[in-house]
Amino acid sequence: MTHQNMGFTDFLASSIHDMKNSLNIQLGALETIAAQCQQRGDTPTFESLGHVIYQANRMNVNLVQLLSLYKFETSTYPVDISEHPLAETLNEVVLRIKSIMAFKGITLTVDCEPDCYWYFDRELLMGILINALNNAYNYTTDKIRVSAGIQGGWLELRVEDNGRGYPPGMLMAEGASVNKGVSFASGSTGLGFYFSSQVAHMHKNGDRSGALIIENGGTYGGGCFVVRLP
Amino acid sequence: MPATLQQATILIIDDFQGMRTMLREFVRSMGVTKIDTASHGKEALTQLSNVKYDIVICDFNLGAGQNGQQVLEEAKLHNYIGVSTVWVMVTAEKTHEMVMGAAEIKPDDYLLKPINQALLENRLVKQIARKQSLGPIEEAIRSQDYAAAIVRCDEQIKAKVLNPQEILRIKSDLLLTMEDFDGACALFQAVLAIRSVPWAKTGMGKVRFHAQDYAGARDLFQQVLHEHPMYIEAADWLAKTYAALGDATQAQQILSEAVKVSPNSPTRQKLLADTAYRNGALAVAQTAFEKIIRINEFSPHKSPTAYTELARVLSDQASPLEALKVLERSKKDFKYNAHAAIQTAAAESTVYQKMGQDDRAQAAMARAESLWRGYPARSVRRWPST
Repeated sequence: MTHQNMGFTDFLASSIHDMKNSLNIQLGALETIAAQCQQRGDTPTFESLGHVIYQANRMNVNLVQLLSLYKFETSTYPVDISEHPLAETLNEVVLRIKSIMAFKGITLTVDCEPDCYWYFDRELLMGILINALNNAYNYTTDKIRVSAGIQGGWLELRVEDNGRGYPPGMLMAEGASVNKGVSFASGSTGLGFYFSSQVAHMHKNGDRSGALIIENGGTYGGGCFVVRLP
Repeated sequence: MPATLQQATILIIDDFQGMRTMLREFVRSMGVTKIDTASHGKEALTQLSNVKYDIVICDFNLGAGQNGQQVLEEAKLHNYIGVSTVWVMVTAEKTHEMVMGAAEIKPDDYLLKPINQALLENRLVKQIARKQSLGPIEEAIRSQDYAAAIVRCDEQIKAKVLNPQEILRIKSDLLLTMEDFDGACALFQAVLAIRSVPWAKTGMGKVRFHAQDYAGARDLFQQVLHEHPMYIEAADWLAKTYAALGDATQAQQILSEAVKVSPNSPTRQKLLADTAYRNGALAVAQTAFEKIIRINEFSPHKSPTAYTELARVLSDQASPLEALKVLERSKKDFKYNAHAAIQTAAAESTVYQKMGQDDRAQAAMARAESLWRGYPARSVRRWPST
């Protein structure tokens, strides 16, 4: 990387940081207004705000992912892989996303044993789950299931929906590289998949490292976003 | 620690009026009635010194002056907050100071923005439960009854608390404190059999270090850093191990890398400064001392020693005028501190001596001695001999 490039990337990163701060203030205000609408029974406004909040959340997720990728690249991300209770982590992901699901009348189910513990970077993993849930929100009919379980020395996290499933071009087996699905026209940048697969790979145990799998089927026969961590 | 969140006394620290109002509304809606707010570090510390808070919700970025981490450190240093206080840092992004091993004093938890009420409440309830499980252990530690503390650790682990690893880690520290190295070794082995966890591997390294198996300790600390470059505690121990092996150059190298990862620990910078000074790497020592002065600018750790030692390095580098400038700054910064004035005057004398200006050296020393006679305290640290 040349010095000029470095300057540009650093510029991008600091701008993203700044945008994220503004966005967070907007998000906070929007959620307060939405809650007020709900209290006075103004359902139409509440529902249209829901979509705005969903979009703002998506933007925030994108910015966080870009900033994190920048930090991975410059080795400045404070990766902190430690043991966490999965039930607690999934519960928190749901708390972050619950209001959005309610706007669209989606039933979100969590399936995880209370004594399931695993090693991961809490913020990164929550980031990829929120991203997966945002996707599922967009493509599901009315159901989403998020689950975690340990099988044969691996943690498997699944986000499943009852939508039409992923198009064939986006399916991804374990270990596949993520460079498809980039389309400015459809708005699918591939950023979420790329970020998720990077994060999965950063989770290592001995000589094994994590992976992202995109498949169809699962509990509801729709799209399945699967992360496996060693 | 109160039994429930609703009984807690809470302090909210945020420089933005909007955020303060939002956070206050959040906790009020949770049923909390005792809520105070502060808009900057100074105000927060005044409140912390007057009221015993159960929970502090603090924004990391507080504008000019102290940041959230520095407020936390100062509150801890002055004992305004105890082990039972829950300190939650609210932040736009995760920093090294918040995660493992990168800072000596850490918040109990951190919450990334954007936050909502449900999320905050969930974390606060969890932290209250955590403090309640740690309470009896910490009580035993405070009364230095380490054996009882270990028994209580085992009870908590059996009771299936939310944080079994944290309790195991405390237990391992207790075993090391009691110099039960066999017990500690067994604990680390059991954890490591499942996964290479940095704290356990670092702990195993400490066991080797105490057994004076420095080569074995070195290998373990190196492995930890290879697997977890951010796990700075291993770097501190690796440097210590190299020093024990007589390799001061490597020790300095490791510390130089460590301060790149975590530059804001004054203890680590001091270790680097001293090691580099002994190695004759005066430029490195100078940078480290300058950094210590900068880190401690708003901190309770601020002391004239960093200034006098920086002056010594500059004087050794044949920059006596720079050294005198640093000491002038020390005089200004510690205007009302007799102890500091004595130390600074003594340092000045040494710089003048090195410049060959004996009369000025003597004048400075005379000033130091007259201050010394007027100063009632027990002892004053002299310029360390080199």
